[in-house]
This record gives sequence, C-alpha cells and structure tokens, in this order.
Amino acid sequence: MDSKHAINPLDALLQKGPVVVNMGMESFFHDLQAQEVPVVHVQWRPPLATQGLLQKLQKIGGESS
Amino acid sequence: MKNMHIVKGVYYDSVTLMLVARELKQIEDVREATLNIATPANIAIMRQAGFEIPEGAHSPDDLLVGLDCPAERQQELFQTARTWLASPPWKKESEKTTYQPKSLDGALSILPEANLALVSIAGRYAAAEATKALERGRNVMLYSDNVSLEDEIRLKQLAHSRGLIVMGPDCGTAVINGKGLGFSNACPTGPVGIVSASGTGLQEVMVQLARRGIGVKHGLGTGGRDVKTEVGGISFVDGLNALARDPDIQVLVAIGKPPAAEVRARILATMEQSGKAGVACFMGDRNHPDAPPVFFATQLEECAQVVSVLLEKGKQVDKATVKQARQALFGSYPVPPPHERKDGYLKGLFTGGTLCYEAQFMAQPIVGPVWSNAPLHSEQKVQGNSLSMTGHCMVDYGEDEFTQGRLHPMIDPSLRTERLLEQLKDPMVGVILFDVVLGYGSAAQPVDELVAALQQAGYREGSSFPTLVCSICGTEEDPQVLSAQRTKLKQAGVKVFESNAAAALFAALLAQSPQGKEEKNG
Repeated sequence: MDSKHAINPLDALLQKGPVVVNMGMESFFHDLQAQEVPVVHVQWRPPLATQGLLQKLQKIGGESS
Repeated sequence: MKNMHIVKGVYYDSVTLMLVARELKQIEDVREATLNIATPANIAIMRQAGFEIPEGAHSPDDLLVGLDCPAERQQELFQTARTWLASPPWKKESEKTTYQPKSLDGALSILPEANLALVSIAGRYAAAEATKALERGRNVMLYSDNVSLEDEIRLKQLAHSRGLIVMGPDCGTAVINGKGLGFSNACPTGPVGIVSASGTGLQEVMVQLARRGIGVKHGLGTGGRDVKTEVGGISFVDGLNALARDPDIQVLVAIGKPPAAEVRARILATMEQSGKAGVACFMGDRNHPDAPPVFFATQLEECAQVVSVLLEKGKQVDKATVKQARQALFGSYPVPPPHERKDGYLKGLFTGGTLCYEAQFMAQPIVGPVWSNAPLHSEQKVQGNSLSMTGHCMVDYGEDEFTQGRLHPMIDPSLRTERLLEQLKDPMVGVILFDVVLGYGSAAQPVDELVAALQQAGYREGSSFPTLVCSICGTEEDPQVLSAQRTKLKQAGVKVFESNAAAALFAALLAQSPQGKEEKNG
C-alpha cells in the first residue's frame, strides 16, 4: 500500500468482518441477514443491450466502432 | 396437457424460479410445473420433459414456464405464476416494500462501507460485475460458475494488484470473521484460518473441527481452478498471507484436491514462512512426509484431527505425536460385522464434489476401481448417469453436467433422490453411499423427500434392499439442526455417520463384489 497507514483491503475485510453487496441469489441475502451481517441485496437484471447490439446501434447512429 | 409459455426479457434467480414451481405443483390439477431461463441447456431439459419449444422464439433473456395441467386452466395458472414471480407469496410484506437498488453503484450508495461483493448471477454476466466491484475497491466472492479461465486470471491479477481477493469463480463457501457466506455451517469462531480450493472440503473440515470444540475465524474459498498452473494459486497464496498476518490465527490450513506441482510449492513455501503451524490437506496425496511446522493430511477428518493436536501441543509438536493422533482416528472408525456384508456393488451419490472425491479415495483401496464422472484418475471417468454401469461407481451431482439449468443439488436434491431410488431397486447394488450437507444456503429440508420415498418403497434396514449409508456434514446450530436430520434418516433405516471418511470406509467394507450374478452391461 502507498501509505504506511493504509491497510490492505483484504486485511480490512478480515479485521472488520464482511459488509456485503449481494448480487444474485436472494437466499444468500437472507442467510447473511440471519447472521446479522450488514448486507444490501441488488435487484440485479441482465444488461438491456449486449456489446454486439451496442456496436450495431452505434453503426446505425453513424458512430465508428 | 403440456404447454409452454414464454415471458420475454425478464430475469429471476434460480431459487425464486424453483420456489414458484414448487408452489404451483401444490395446486390441484397441476401435474408438472417448471420455470427456467431460456438457455440452451434448459431448453434441452424441458424438451426432454415433453414440452414443445419452437425454434427461434426465444432468447437467453426470456423465461420459459412449462405447465402440465388441463387446457382450460393453462392461462389462469400461467397468470398465477407471473403474480407469484412479481410478488412471492412466501415473502413477508415488509420485505416486499423494502427498497432494493438495481445496481452495484446503487447498493454502494446505500452501504458505502461494503467491503465484499457476493456475486451469484449467471456466469456470462458475472465477470463484468466482479470487475466493477474490484475497480471500486471491493473484494469479491464469485459463486457463479461458467466464468472463463481468461476472465478468472484477469480478475485475480486485478485483485492482487490492488490488495484485494477474488474468491472463486465457482466458490460456494467462505467464512469471514465467523460469518458464513454461501454454503456454510454454523460453527464456532476460533484460532484456525483456512484457505480452500474446495467448498465442501472447507465445510467438512470446519464441521469436524467443531466436533472437536475448535473454531475457525476465517475460511477463504478460491475455487478449484485457482490451484491449477494457469491461475498459479493467486488467491490461495494471497489468502494464506493475509491469514498469516492475523494475530488471532494460530494454525493455517490449506485444503484442496492435489494442486499443480509449482502451485503446491508456492503454497507450502508460504505456509512455512508464515511463522505459524500448518496443515496441508491435498486430498489423497500421500507423497509428503510431515515437515514441521507443516503437517500433511490425506483426508478431511484427518486434517481436523491434526489441527486439534497442533493446537493442543503448540508449535513444538513432534511428528510421532501427530502420527499417533492419526492412528487413533483411523482406529476409531467403525467396521461392519461380517454378517452385515452385502453382495453387490457400491454406488455413491453425492451433492458435495470433494466428499465424492474423498469417498473414492477411501473406498478404492478396499473395493478396487471406482468409476465416476469426477474420478480420482482420468481413465476411470464415465459420463452422465454412470451409476447404470457395472462396477463400483460414485457420482458428483454438483458437476456441470447436472447443474446446467438446475439448482445445485445441495439446494435442490430431487434429482439425486430420484437416482438413489433407482439404485435401490437394482439387484446388482449392495451398498448405497450418500451425503447430506446442512448449513446456510442448503435445502431447508434436505432429507424429507428421500425419507418419504424410502417409506413408500418399503425400505427396511437389514432387508434384501441395498444397505444405505450416509454422512451428514452439519452442526446442531445449523438451520436444519443436525440431530433432527440424523433422527429422520435413522428412523428410515439409514446408517448415519458424522464423518464422510468414516461413512465411505464403512460402506466400502460392507460392499462385496457380486458373486454369481449376471453382469448387467459394460
């Protein structure tokens, strides 16, 4: 780490314990809540456009890809 | 009437889909209900089940709802499914109204102190979300599988350069400061730190330590590919180094199937330099004599046994003491009386991949070659339903061939139950060995379906049926409660063990190769 006072973020995780953003299976979110782990669940959805589609749209819009 | 309904452009996690399907099946008139994202694997499974899915009418972002019910009820029940997907009946009202962000950045604005992203979305999207989390300075646990090796290497190199860790992909289990993530058991917290390339291996060692009154502070998963040459053990070694810096950790433990030679060397060098005692459990690897401060174990309960000796005796423990402790463990394993031996093959049906591997390792010296879809040696590999083969076989139902389009068998053991019942009727089978893994993430009622089916089949211990032998990986504090599951299985006539190694040894000693019976097939 750059500063001698900065703590490696992996060490910080192990020292403080997990504070979690959960993306995917909601059951994992509930299990973490049951263990009193601070956690936020993301209502994740797949991206609307794939990279291939984005490129096609860019071409239609006249942008070079 | 079997009919397929397509919902365009939606996404639900696989547990929600399973629960809605399960609720639908409770309705009178519904013979079958299945909800799946329209991936090629799911489409193949649904077609096999008799649902007609027209070519080209769907994309992998669509949801397929298959209903087998009277024609006049199809639309009504399809609408019921959509209502339950939008507002699951099993959710509390307070949960339905709680705001949930739609993105990682949204979540971080609510919980800026978050230090870990737990990612279990479909594999094709997982690397992108993991990258975002790392770029925002957060560690990642990547439960998702089907992440490419190239992405894994890139993610781990990125994490390493920033002092972060990526656990996974295909990492099912982790424990951090005593808190379980993914599949994990309720175990005490204590002076042991583990890095594991195997999810169920980590669970079994934690449970065996808990049985000895020993707790684990951290258990970091890495995913199985981390210890291969291509990845080079990046997360494994970073994890060991982090545990070595933790003053609360007295014993370091490394678990996994045998790593690539150069990765093994890096792992052992890291352990030796840590200043702490260590146990390396590279499953089945007998090639390394103890070299204090690092000791070796070939199986998971032995690993816990050696850890307990190291904690008891301190750093000055000698090789003879450890050897004695190992022998005491092996001497304690029950041996079946000769009259209980069964004429027939040994078949193993596992939800835990490493438990399947360990069972083969324990059984093979006794029964001879064991075939498997996840074998000890590649020449003993068989595909698909290898249980139908002649010979001793063990199947890992958590392998990709069974989980594409299906939940992991630790969450939904129904396929394993179905296959186990088939084996029960096979006159060539003498002994059936299986595992039950309890804990967070696992099925709430993991044995009920099996026990009911055994009762229906008229199974009795000591009858002409094959003998059923089972190991339970779990604790009394787990949500499913160890003693409750043990009682159900014992009442159903199953021989129950609390160590996978002990169960496998017992099952192998019970099984004798069939004599005087016709070979079924090759």
